[in-house]
Amino acid sequence: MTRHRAEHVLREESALADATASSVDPIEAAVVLESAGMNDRVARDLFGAHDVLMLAERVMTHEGPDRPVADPVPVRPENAGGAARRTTFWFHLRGVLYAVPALVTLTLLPAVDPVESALVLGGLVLSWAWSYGVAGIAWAHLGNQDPAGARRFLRRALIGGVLLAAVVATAVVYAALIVTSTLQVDLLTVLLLTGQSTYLLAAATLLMTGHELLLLVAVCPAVAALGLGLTGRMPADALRWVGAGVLLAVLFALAATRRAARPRQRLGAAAWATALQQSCYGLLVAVAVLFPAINELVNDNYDALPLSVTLAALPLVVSMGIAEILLTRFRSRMSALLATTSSSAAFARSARRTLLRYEVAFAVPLAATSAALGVVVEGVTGTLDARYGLLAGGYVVLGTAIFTAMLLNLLGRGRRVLATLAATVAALVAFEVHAVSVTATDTEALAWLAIVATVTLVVHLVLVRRYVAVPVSHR
Amino acid sequence: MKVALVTEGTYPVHPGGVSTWCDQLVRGLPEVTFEVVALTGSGREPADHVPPSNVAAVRRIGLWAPPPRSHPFTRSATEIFAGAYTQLFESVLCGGPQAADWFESALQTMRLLAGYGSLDVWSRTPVPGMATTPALTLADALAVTDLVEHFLRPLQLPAPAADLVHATANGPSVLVGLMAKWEAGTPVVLSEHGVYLRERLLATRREGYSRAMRTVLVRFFHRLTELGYRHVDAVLPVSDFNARWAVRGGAPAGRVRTLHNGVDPGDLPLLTNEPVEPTLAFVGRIDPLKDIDTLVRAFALVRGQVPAARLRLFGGVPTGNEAYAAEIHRLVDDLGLGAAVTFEGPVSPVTQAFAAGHVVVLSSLSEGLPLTVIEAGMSGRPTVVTDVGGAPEAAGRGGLVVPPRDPAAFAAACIHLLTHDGRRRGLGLAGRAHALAHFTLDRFLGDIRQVYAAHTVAPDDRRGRAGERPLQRAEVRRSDAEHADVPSLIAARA
Repeated sequence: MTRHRAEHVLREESALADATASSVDPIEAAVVLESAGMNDRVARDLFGAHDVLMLAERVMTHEGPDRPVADPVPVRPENAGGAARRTTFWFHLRGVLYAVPALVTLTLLPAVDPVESALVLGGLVLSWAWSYGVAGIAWAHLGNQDPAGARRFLRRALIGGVLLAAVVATAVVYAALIVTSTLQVDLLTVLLLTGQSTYLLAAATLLMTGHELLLLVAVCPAVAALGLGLTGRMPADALRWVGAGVLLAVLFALAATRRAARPRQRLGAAAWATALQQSCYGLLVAVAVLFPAINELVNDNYDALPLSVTLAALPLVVSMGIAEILLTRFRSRMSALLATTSSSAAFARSARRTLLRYEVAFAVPLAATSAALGVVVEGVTGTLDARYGLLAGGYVVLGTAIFTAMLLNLLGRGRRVLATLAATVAALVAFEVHAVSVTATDTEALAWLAIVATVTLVVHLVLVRRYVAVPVSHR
Repeated sequence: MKVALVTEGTYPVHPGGVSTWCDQLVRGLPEVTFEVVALTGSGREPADHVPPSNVAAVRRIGLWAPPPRSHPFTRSATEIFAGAYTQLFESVLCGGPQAADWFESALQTMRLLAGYGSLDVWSRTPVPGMATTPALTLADALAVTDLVEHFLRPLQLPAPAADLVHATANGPSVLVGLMAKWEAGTPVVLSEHGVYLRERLLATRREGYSRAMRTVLVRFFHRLTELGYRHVDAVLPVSDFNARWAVRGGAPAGRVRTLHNGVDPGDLPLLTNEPVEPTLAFVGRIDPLKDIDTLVRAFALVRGQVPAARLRLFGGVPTGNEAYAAEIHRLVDDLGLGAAVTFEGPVSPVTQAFAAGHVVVLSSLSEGLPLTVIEAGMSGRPTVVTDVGGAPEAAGRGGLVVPPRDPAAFAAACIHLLTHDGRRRGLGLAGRAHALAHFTLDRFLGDIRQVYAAHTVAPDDRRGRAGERPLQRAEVRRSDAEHADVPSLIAARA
């Protein structure tokens, strides 16, 4: 045998061993051998087989199930790009990022006029819902492995959203001056409304592109003003400090969406329908959370709840950051369960145990933070308004219901969540309609919120317990 | 005559050899009215080809788009679906003589169910039988279910109304044809450019699926392609190599007829001049399957004998192959070949590339019927090709065939042709004669006309064929031994 032929035989034998070891079926081994250059002539001349398939069959049958196994090396697609959302250390600060604007709003911008307050609240609810929808579309682009397309959409949604907010704010302020007797709304209100929407859109853009740190930097001026305010040295131009924060957030958002490109493909109706669904979800959650404030506006004798009571919302806002972290871990845990379980019954048992752990992991810190904040408020003010306890309790239950809704969304039951949240909001609206005629008290409104939140939580828990036991992919 | 031309990932959306083939087909048969059913990723990709006027309609179907919305199944239909799905995977996993029939019966049941609601019930139905397969986890079962739904997505579509369905690939494309066959007795012919099963299995290996999941998918694709091979009226592979796979995959030998691709001799005139320096020309994408590293190593040996030799590589680097291209550049540097090897990028028209070389070379590890070799032969350029797939058929008497992955043998053939002018020119002329005899566009179109005429059935006869169609007596085996058909079952359970 010449050296050249010996090398040839060795090479083909090695290819045969590799192909059979890495294949699960003779036909796969034959495909691998042929794509490595072996043909029927080689199978005949070197191995005495009729063809490549017969050769693979012969080897795999001879070696049996105990043959050496070496799975093929997968070829991973190229990295889709750096703008897809990354889970970084700063991801864990999301709760703080949600809380800071809420705290700043509560502290620096205490609205005194019911019309102005209504406009601010309405703007907040709509901007919140709009941001959810924008994030939904950006997610759809990211799902298409198209981060450049997602950046382009986010950038356009930000610019278009700001312009739209400015136009709408001007229109509603003008309308408010005409149809109401207030003289408290002016150019500042327009700026306030536009700034609020702008911040929410910029924040959504920064969070979608994984730039939590930049958002943290952007809120620094407002935090500084807040700090000064809490120490009794509130700057005279505090609103400018807040405005600077908004401007920074916008500049960072524009920078974060620099490498934008035309989408690889148009999104289908399903993606837009999902975004609309998410938008509605955001709207309903916003209305439920802001119910106490809305109640204050709708009820006669407008008199905003004192800061010591409204602070009860703060733990709920912070907990949404915790909810996102728990959601990410829950998804990983469920994927791990699916990847290690072959029995549906065993999966159902483990999944329900996991669910319980995560529900507790969310509710306990929320309840503890609310209680701790109550103690702090009492320590600072020397007294604790009973309404704080009622509102904090309601928010703990509502927060847990919202977290459970997020789990249901993760399990692909978004429509069910919309239906239950719509019922929740309908119940709250029904109270307001009734309250207008009977002049319900704050305490009654907060109690009603607690009752409705409890029912929502129970329904969500029943649903999530059922659906978590069904094995589905978690994407 | 109306023909439904079914494509997957090619005409008229994506460029490439099969798209060019389809374009030649529809333009070459102006007397035929075509409806193109294009199976693509999202169903929304921009078109790459503008079809001629005899293409009456282009229907795009996104195999990887969200499933079409429809009303949900009733509980009874869901139960029947679960039974059919279980049967489908029993046929995949268990094998046996009845497995192919079970597979077909399960698909027919699903097809009938598609008329009663949305088959997106898939996403909530990890088949019980699958989860009991050793080492197959629920995650595997869900992933398999997800993938299988995409490949069986055509079951949810209306069957094309045509005199004949011409599928350009096995798998989902043939499924579109089989639906027309089941429901209206429409004849189906299948042209295979690559071998669908081979391509799917190679893709499955690249994805890094678990071994258990790969087992299910390999067997599923085997059953799916077997279904096509068994039931189409004619299998038209583009090479004898592919024909062998069709027979191996279940096609009755009598229904398999090799139908070579055609090129227009007018576009590829005989090249009479040769470049000044002894040059090898490669035309193709920079891809591991083309085994460019063997070519470069062989060229290093050629330079030892023919110091003035050059190697010119014409072709682009597809996305994902950048690392491989960089590896080849490094190899060129390591072997000290320097400027003797040039990467020319894509070229148009391709005759420029052939004119740039004395010999056209192809060092592939895997080929169907390489168009480059046919075109080189038509241009009168001799070829050196590896003995893989349909490459020897394409080269015919116009080239030398060497074992793959053998730089020494490849180099010897190249040196021989570069240093023997008479032999080289003789092979070039023989290659031209071979191409004119076997690979002209006119011959291809004539053959296709024959096939269409032979397999077009008069409407009355078609109704007769449809009367025998198995869908009428579709049975939900195992779960329903009473041999009722699906509509009755649904009605009875409701």
